Amino acid sequence: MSLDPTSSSRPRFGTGIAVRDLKRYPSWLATAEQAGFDLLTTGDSQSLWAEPFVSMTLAAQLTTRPDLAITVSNPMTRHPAIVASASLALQQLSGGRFRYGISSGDSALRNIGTRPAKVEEIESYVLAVQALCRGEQADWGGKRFGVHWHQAPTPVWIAAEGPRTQELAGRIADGVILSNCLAKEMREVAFENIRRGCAAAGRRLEDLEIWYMCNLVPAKSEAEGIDSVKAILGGTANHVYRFHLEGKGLPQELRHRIEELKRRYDSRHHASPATAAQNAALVEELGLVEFLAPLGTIAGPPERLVERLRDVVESGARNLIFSQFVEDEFGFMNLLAREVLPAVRS
Amino acid sequence: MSWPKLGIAAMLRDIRAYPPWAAEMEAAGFDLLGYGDTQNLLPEAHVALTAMALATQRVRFAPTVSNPITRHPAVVASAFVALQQLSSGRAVFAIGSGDSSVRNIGERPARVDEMEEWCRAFADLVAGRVASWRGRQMALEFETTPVPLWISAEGPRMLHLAGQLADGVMLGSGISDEVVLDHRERVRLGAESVGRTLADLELWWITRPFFAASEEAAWNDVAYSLAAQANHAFRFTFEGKHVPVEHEAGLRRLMEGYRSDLHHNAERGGHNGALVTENGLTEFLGRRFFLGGSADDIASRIDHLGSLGVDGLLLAGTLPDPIAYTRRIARELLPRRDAR
Repeated sequence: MSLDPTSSSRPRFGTGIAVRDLKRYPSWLATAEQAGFDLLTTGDSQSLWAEPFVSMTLAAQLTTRPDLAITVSNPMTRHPAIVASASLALQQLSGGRFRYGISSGDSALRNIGTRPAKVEEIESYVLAVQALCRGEQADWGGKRFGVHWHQAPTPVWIAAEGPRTQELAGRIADGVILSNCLAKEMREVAFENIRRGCAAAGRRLEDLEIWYMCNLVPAKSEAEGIDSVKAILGGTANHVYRFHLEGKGLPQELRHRIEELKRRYDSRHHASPATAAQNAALVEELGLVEFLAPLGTIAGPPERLVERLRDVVESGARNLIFSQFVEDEFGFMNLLAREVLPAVRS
Repeated sequence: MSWPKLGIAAMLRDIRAYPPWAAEMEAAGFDLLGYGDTQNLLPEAHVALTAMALATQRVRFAPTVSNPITRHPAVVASAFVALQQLSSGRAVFAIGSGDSSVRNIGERPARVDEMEEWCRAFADLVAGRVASWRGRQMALEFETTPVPLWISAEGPRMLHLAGQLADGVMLGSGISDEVVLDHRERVRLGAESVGRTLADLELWWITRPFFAASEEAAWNDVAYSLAAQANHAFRFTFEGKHVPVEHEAGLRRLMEGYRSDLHHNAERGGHNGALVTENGLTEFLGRRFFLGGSADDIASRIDHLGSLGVDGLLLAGTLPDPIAYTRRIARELLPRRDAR
């Protein structure tokens, strides 16, 4: 039986938002740190919210304890020397708390008419960023270059959904971010792929830090909470399954429905439940809510959140990043700090 | 006679030094803080500018200058809308064709047509309009806010383009009278070609003040920095750049031998500095690019530049101790400005 590599450690909780108001973000950071989160994140989707290196700079300067991460960037919109230089700057500012997350690119690229990166493009980009941060020369795009002003350990995490990307993460990444893996059987599928990569590089699964994305939705009832994030379920499924359906644990009978979701999903409203009624209706129409919700969503009143989180943590997923698809982000964090996280940690 | 506005820039390798430096320079009274976008040599510009924005309340800040090669325009537009929000409107985005930032990753500087397409996309994005870039349509889907666009221009075509579409121009081709008047005129013609006027633009010249017993002594002290200026200003062509014929061959040799990985590197300036002295370019480049001599000498020259229509001077510090050096610039020059 597979074990989560972090199963012996205490559970860690992260949270993040899409930063659309920089004036309000310092208050969000203060509340998040005060609430006791271990990791603060933001995504990289430049057309929908603030560029993440700006937001992460505020996070580095205005917090002192939690780790910080971009979850996740892409290899298409910046030269790797830019990312390495920015990551090193954030390591200096934060005292080494920054992690750079990357994947093939989703809404960041769809919204500028650019295709997602291939697995080999992710690999060459990650290897370049890692080499540059170590102070070594990088080979990328047929060019050789180095970053000369600083070097520092900078963990690179790969958000990996397909077997090839998961294998790549096992081979070269410092950490992995998994979506739709709150259910143990889905994690087993991912672990097999990651282990294959680890073995090829003489590493072990335990060498990687593994984080799980989780839509945590406080609501009067579980059903009401799930109903409020149907568009997000669609967005996550759209990028998890967008290239192919193999090796991802998708039941045969749902394949055609997922294909239809991919065809009709509107990326302009990605990660914005308030404006994504069309995407929400699509998930409902295709009858995918029942399948998708348990994979990545925990919803309900506080006692139900505690119950489900305990189950997930005890089953081995101990590093959880909570998305904040809620109207009142401050109330969300305060509620978790008061009624949910201490109970789960205990 | 009014002095130009004064900006200041420094190259520091520890980003933690920038917030206190920015606060100090703001308190001293500078009008603009500049920051080089050259990722292989300095902390990345968006991170550094955010740190500087957080540490200040009044002063404007800009990358001096960015390029259209290393980031997608939507990424830059998103960053500068965010910086504009954060700073309550103090961000300026300045861009050139790319120098050390692109040479150090093996890329070529952008052509004028590439600059134009990139700049128009950026301007549309920060204005909340649909932009077109490389055949693709795109927009920022969150609340945008205007960000002034300045173009760094040295050649005739870029000066014309800047006059047509920019809110400001950064000029690095020198501060001799003939260069200042010529470039001002070229920007004016560009502006008027599209129904604008010179008054629609801020014209900032980039220069470096070096305090010494005499101009000549200053030039010799900072020959490596003269090499950087020359390599940048003349890399594409001598045409329209007021270069005496007798210096063209020497300048070509300088540019062939220039090492971008040592760009403005005061500690290891020997190689690039020798390209200036060995090619007999010290006096030509010194007078052309730098403010040298005593504080009174430099103040008199700034007085004169104000009379030529220079709106702003970005004073860049490249000596081994940039903090001490920029403090000296503040100490020596700002009281003279305030006394006028």
